[in-house]
Amino acid sequence: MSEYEDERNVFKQGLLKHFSQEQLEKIESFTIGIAGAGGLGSNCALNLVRSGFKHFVICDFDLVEPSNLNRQFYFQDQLRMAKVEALSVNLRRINPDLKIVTLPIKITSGNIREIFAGCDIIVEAFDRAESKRMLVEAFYSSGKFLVSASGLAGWGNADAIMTLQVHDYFYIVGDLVSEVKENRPPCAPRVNIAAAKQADLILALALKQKDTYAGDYSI
Amino acid sequence: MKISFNGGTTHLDQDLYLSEFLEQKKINPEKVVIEYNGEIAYQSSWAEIKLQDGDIIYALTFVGGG
Repeated sequence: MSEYEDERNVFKQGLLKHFSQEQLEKIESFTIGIAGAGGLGSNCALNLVRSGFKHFVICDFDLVEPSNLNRQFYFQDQLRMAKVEALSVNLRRINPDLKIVTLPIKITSGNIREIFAGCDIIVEAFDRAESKRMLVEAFYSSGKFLVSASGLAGWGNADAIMTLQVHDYFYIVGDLVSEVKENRPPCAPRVNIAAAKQADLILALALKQKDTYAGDYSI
Repeated sequence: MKISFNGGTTHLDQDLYLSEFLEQKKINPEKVVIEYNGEIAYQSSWAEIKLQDGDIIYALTFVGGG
């Protein structure tokens, strides 16, 4: 028998050593859409779950491949699993008490608004520039808090991965230029830095903590 | 006429639609989001927006990787 009486509550008890009840209730009140469960999406979700967020809509139609394991939050024994399912399992190992809607479907300009209609916050975590464009155009003026990423390939000069505020509800993380190409692969450190910065913007939003990046958001 | 593009001033000698202007700037329409006078300009509307003196355009180009 576990030394903890309620296994589902252990993570929350731990979080309450760091956050007040009021802060945690605020964090838990948001539903976050994760568009793409690759290097950005899986690692951003990991950071968000550790920060106390509980409600997610995660959409990606890919399966876990060997080439993903260099940077994505998956394990070798999860190869060929749907990413959304594997991610859901991994996130629940951190906090079993999560509410995750997993959608193993392709996001298109035709279904994107419907998929994330119930989300307060959207993480753009796609691989392809064309998909990033599609999502940002769809939610640019939606009133939802949107955090995108662009320019994170390769290694070195990690301080160039910055946060750009486009308007009150739209931020972009990245160096804006480092595209994935031959001899410039996506690697764990820079991808994780970008994903963690996306998560930090969302945590700062939830806690209304003003800093050099964060405006006075209201959702 | 003069317009502002990505924070700089651009002079136009002829009437242009937004789609034509972006083509002249060699901007890949599949990887860019356009803010036109403070509002999002959906890609489907670019061919119908005739540029006016004083317009303010920002082009936000994305690069792949995630």
